[in-house]
Amino acid sequence: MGNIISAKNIVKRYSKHVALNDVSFNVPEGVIYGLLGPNGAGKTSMIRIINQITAPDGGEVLFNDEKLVPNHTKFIGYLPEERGLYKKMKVGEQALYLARLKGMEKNEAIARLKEWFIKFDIIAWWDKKVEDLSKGMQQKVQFIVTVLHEPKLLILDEPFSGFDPINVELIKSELLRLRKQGATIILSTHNMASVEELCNNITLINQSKAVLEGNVNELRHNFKQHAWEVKFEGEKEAVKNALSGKFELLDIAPEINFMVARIKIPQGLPSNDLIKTLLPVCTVIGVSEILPSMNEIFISAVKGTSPKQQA
Amino acid sequence: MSKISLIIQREYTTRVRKRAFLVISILGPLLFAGIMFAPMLIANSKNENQRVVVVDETKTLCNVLQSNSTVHFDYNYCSIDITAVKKIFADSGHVSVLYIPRVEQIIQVELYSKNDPGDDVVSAIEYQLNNVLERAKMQAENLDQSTIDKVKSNVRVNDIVGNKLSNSSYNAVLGYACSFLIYIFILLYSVQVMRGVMEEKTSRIVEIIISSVRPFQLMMGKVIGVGLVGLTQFLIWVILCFGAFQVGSAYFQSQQINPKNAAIEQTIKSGMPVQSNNTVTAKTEHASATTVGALDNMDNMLRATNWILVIGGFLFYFLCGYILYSALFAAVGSAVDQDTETQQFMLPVTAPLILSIIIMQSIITNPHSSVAVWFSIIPFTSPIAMMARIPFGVPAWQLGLSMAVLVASIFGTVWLAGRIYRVGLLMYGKKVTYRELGKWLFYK
Repeated sequence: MGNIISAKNIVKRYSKHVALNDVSFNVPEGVIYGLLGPNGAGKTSMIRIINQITAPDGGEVLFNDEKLVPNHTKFIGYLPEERGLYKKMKVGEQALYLARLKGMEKNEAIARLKEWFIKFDIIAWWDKKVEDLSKGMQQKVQFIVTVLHEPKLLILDEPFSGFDPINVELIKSELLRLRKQGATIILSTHNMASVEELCNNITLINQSKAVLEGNVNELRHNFKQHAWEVKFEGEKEAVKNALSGKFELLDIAPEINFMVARIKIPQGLPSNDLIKTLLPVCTVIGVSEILPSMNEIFISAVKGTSPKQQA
Repeated sequence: MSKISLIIQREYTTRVRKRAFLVISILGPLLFAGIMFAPMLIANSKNENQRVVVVDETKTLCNVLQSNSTVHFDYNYCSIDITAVKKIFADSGHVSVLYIPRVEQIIQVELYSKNDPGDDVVSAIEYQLNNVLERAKMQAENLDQSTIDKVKSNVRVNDIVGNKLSNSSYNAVLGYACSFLIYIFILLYSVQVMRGVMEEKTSRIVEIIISSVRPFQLMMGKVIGVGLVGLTQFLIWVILCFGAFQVGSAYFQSQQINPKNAAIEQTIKSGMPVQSNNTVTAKTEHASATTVGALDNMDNMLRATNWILVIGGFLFYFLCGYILYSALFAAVGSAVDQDTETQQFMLPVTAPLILSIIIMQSIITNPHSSVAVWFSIIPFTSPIAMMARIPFGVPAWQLGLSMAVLVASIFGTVWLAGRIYRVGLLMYGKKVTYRELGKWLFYK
């Protein structure tokens, strides 16, 4: 499958700083793609360029291998991080207006809106003013408007903020369903747990540059420390002695019925060697490899590329 | 349906459906009618005249000065000592004491009041005194009444411009009214555009919208939508005002015939001295003739006015002026976060409007001065300045040049405002300087 978005050497300058400095990445079709980075890294600038809200000073963005043109906006659904609605307007009327701005025909838009409003349990609010809605309900309306025209590409900036855990699950399941139906989703978030859960690929932007790009699982394997977690019953000192010299014991701590040790295996040594070493001195309950969380990868990648924090 | 027409539709319907729109649509003309007819109503009310107690030491003017709608002369204290009379009315706010001292020739009289009775009362007394004294002097010179009437002249200037009867003061009123309306409308609706932009920015819906439409489309949609609201409002006002004017003028026409007859009847009944009787009749007749004549004249003037030019000019300058200013106001609205910050950018944008309304006063008294010509060509003042001149007649080349310059500057201004607008919309949380606005023009 091809790339729905190819960003090539994007440069965006503002009067006092460079927001994006030669950023390139590809978003394959049909994936959930995480666009990560600390605050102020340039994520929103990148998203606005894809949405043609601003234009880059250098480089270009291809949509399905075509240069971006205004007509592409109808294939894109965008949920900005800072989002709101007209407070004095009625909910249904407003949703219809936003849907028609995306080029939908009136009757079709009404029919689909009603379906979504029923699914999200807000149909009773159709004729109410937006200011009477709770924040969560407003977020639901915004989400519906973003996906209503069944865009090929969804760009969601912090889509889970403002939702309770139940509604977060609702939105997640909708995103997974939309991907199954063929939509590509670009997700920008600081919630690394949801990145692990949802995203296939990511790009990490730091200090205006793309510093990390790839498949989430591959990245986690690439960043692994060859550390293992061993649960066992037995003498702590005996285990320590058996390991010394051959393996690096990171830490060891008692749980309710057993002990947990985290052990680093020197490169090249198979994990079986560790088990062989431990079997004579304790009862092994479980062994598993420790993969770094996206959170850890994020932090180490950001620290590794930020000169300020290195110093 | 194209996106911009969707935006226009939303801007229009949400505003027209508001209760405030209905209220202003109905109250506006009432207010105008009130401003137009209130002076007439006040002039017509008879109880409001000032009581003037006359103390005449010459004994020649008692019962001679005639009460009218402005002054009511009271002769009950005519021959009482002035200091005593002054004491009696010292605390009365509604009574003035007119003191005519015993002198050979009356050149100065005194009017004592607790509160200033106003210019009208003073000039009414002066007018009557002068009339009476003049006649007395002429009679002393052995001129009889018919000779006096013969030498009185009443010249009227017929102001013919081109080959049409014109009337400067009427043109001035028309020019003033039109350009003032343009001023009010531009200010009222441009500020609405600014508020609309700020609403979208502060409610943060704007980023959702400009991911589907270009910022320029959003801005123009808003400008046009609000402009149509203005036109609708104006149309409602015109219809209501026309109705109110018809009703009002019918009422006053029926009223104006009566006071004249009543005045004559009253004079005949009371058996005044011939001399003063004539003055009164002549005066009331003259007054009535002026009001009735004014109405006839008004009718003639209304017919003589080139309404196609005036209405066409009004619509053109209203719309163009509105677009010019509302684009600037939209840019101001986009550049700020809070109401309080609008002040620093509002001033330079409204300054030309205020300047032109000040200049308008001089344009109306001298519609072809070089100041008038220049300000009616400079784009930011021309909507108001040119509209004030149109009723007087403007050379075609000046009108054409003014219109062309205005249209050209609309393109320039709207482009400029659009550049600021699209950047400003997404700028939050920092105070913007003029330098920064300048930089925004060059953002990609």
